[in-house]
Amino acid sequence: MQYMIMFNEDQTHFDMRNDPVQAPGYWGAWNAYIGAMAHAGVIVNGDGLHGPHTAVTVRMRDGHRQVQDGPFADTKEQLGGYFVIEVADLDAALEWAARSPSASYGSVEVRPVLPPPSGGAA
Amino acid sequence: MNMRSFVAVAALPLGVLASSPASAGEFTIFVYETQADLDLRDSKTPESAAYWAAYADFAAALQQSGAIRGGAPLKDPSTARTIRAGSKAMPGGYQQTGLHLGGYFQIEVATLGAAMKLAGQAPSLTRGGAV
Repeated sequence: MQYMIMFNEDQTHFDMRNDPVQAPGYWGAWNAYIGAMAHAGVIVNGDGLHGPHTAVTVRMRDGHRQVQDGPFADTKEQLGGYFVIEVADLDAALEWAARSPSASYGSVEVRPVLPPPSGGAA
Repeated sequence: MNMRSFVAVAALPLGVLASSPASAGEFTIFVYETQADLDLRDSKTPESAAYWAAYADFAAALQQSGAIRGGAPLKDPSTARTIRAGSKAMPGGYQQTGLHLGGYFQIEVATLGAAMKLAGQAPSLTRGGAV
């Protein structure tokens, strides 16, 4: 089964990425976590994302495209990255999710990847 | 059916967390869909066929552009679990909004403008969703 695990972080932690004092600890924790997943061979793909201030959101309104700076949802926590992993079941996916750094200071969402549909898709 | 389509192109460079050099031309397109659209997926109706055909066309367009690097559709948000510090995994997704992450595409293009152009073709945009 493939699951997508999505890491939500608050601005405090996005800011740590480039803070000379806090960046080593921040990246160290993530690299240890990602290294563990890589060692277990569960990673299908994934990425870190730049902070929400770099996002652009597009909507169609009355046939016209509206482009807005910023992420889709204006919430305290924002998507900071994601991985698609291949594991036996939901429990195994939740185990990995709980080990992520953001499980301790933010939140992690786990959702199954849709199997290839008969009609074809992404 | 709620046809308010909404596509949020939140995008960004790959490899940041893995501390590999980020390529300036790599973006992620997140496709946000209405619950009505997500319900179409398994409805076995003509509308369902049209839904899948639209996404198949979009994926084919990305393939033809040569930009696509990966992606996946996700199951309905009712299947999600959310974990946070000090609590057990709770049913449901993190965001309680009118639109739901339905899937994503990783693409590699030269500029944000090129990414926006491809993202602008996402079916969710004309179906009440966003990118």
